[in-house]
Amino acid sequence: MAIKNHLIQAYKQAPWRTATQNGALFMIGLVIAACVIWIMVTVSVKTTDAGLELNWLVSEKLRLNREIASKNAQIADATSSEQMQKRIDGMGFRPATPADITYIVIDGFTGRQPKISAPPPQSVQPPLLIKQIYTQSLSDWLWQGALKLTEKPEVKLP
Amino acid sequence: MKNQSFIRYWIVGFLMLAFSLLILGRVIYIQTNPKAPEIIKGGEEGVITIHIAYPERGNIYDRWGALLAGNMEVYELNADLNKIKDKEAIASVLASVIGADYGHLMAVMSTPPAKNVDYVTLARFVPKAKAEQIMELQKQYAADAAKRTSSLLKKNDDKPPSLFGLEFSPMLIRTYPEKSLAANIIGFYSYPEGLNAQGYFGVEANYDSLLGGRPVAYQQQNDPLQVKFPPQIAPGASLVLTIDRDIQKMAEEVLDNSLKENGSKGGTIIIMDPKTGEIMAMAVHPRIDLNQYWDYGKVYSDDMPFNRAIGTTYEPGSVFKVLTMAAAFDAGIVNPDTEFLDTGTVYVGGIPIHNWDRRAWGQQTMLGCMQHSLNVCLASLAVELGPTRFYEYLNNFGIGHLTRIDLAGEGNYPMHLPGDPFWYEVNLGTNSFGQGIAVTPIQMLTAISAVANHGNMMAPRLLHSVIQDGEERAYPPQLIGRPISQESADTLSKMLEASLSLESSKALVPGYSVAGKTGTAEIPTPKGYTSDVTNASFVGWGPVDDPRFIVYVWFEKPTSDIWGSTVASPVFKEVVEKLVVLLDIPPDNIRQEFAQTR
Repeated sequence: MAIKNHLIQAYKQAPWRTATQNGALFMIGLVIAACVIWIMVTVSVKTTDAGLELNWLVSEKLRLNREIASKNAQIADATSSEQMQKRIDGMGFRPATPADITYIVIDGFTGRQPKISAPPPQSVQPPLLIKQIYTQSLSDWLWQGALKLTEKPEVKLP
Repeated sequence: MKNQSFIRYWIVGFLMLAFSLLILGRVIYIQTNPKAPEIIKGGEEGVITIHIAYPERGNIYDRWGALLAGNMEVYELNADLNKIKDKEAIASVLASVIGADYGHLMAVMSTPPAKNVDYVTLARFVPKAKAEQIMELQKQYAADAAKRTSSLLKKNDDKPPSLFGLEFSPMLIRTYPEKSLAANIIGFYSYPEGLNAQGYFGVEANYDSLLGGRPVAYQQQNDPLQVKFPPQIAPGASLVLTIDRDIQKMAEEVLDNSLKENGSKGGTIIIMDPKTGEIMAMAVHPRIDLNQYWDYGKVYSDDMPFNRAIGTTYEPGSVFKVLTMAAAFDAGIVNPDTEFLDTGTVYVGGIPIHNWDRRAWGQQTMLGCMQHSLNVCLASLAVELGPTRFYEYLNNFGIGHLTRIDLAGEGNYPMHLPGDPFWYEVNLGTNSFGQGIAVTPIQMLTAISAVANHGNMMAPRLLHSVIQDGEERAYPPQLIGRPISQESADTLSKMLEASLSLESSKALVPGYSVAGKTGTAEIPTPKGYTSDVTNASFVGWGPVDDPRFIVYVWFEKPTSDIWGSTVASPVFKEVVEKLVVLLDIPPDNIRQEFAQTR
């Protein structure tokens, strides 16, 4: 009781203490608000950054697909029968005739194999497993929370 | 002192309040500005863009994985008329790098095709290397301009060149690395038609939707906060064909050289595996470079089919005798040793039928009938079979029906049957040796392949497998009929092998057993068979005991000689001599030796 009286007395003797207290409370509120804004801005920036990166990745994927197609076409051009024939002629080879060939049996040899590898299948997007709370914005979260408070509680039937 | 402290608080508070009021005022100004709805609408319009994604067109490979049709990156060069600063520089660079018309480019940029058009296309399908060259110049000019701006040496009258406003849109176009090789099989894709592009002829047309995939329309969010993964767009399926690039090249070379030597108007060589129906090569003349398919009209005129091996119907002549003899064997009315007295003429329906040399060949066996290609003998067999059985056999061999080969543009000429307005009794006789009946080369080959393949007729096909969704699915061979028994087929095969040996045919291949038959068919005119021009052909297969190939050679209107035996038979031999090397088929004696040691 004595301490309480002392504090009241102290504030009465120096009113600037009240102003300082109010200022401190305002500053605390301000810091909290700044923190909330900082979190919101940070989340928004990261989301935006991720969105932009996603757009870039999509365009990069398309670019790489075009690049792969072009490279395959270039390889095919370089190994086309016309180009190979030029190399063959340049190296002095000639087509073999049946008389040039010696046939031998090689156990386990299954003959010439095709050189085509099927491309990997398109990735199937799995269903999102992230809870909604991690994907919604702070304002959405607050708004939905407020809405939940106004909802009537479910009545459980006996 | 205390009052001063309060004043400071008041000043800080006032400033913060003023700042807040300024922000609030600005917000109110923006919200109540008359242009606000316009700005909001503009923003909303830019948030979502509707895109139609066209899948990458599938590739086409030969059976070993050599790319026959693929895609290549090119660029479309556009000018944003609101951005361009230096039309002359753009036109000049494009003229020097890609050879565009300077005057045309200036006209396009100066007078856009319509009002409110602020985006014009300057060049399409610019190769990637050239586009990159222009991009480099664009960067270089921009860097130079930046230097000049900051330089003290800047002069007012010295305007640096600028390619600002020139934009590059990448895209894929169809490319055919082998140019004209197998052009008649592949067909082409009309990529310059943009959204209306489609496959024409051959595999490109027949499997157009499979190769093209399914376009997908989707909304793209430009708001980074709303961005979502675009839908996964599966590329079109890739096709692996049954053709072998090396065999195809060999067949085309042989065909082209032969055409020069024998002066034929056209020709075709088809090589098929009779056991599976897989086409290994289908060489046709003429062909076009598929990378310049727009020259199609210059090469193909007068309704000439793109692929004559499947699209041209003609009277086959004596190669057809194989089918008549097969029917006679299978019906049991003759065997190889059955004797026939050839008098040089037989009357069918009151019309005389003669041999090709108008001679009487006297006593012959069935072997002699085929060896000397006697029309009278074969017509007599057809008469003995009777029209019902004879045409039933032809029907079972697929004559008069499409083979349903998986290529666009297959032709067919319906067979005239008893009861039809254009069928006369004499047709029974003439049809037996391939006159008065029209087939395509692929029909003829498919029918006779049943004889080579122990009586089993396989569907001719080009599709070996489909690569889609990361898997390669093979398409199994399909049996489409057994027109004759195995015994009849094998007996006829051996007889035709003997026939070639006895006549010392130019089709014989040292070391390999081959069976076959020549064909020389007069080409009818409106007045009948009065011209000297012929269709010369040869069909043969081997090795006879274990057939790995059947080859059909056809020349239209050869000028060096009219006979199939002199024009087509040597070509068959040349093809087979090269084919056995490419297919690793040892000579018969070595093959049989290997078979015994295993």
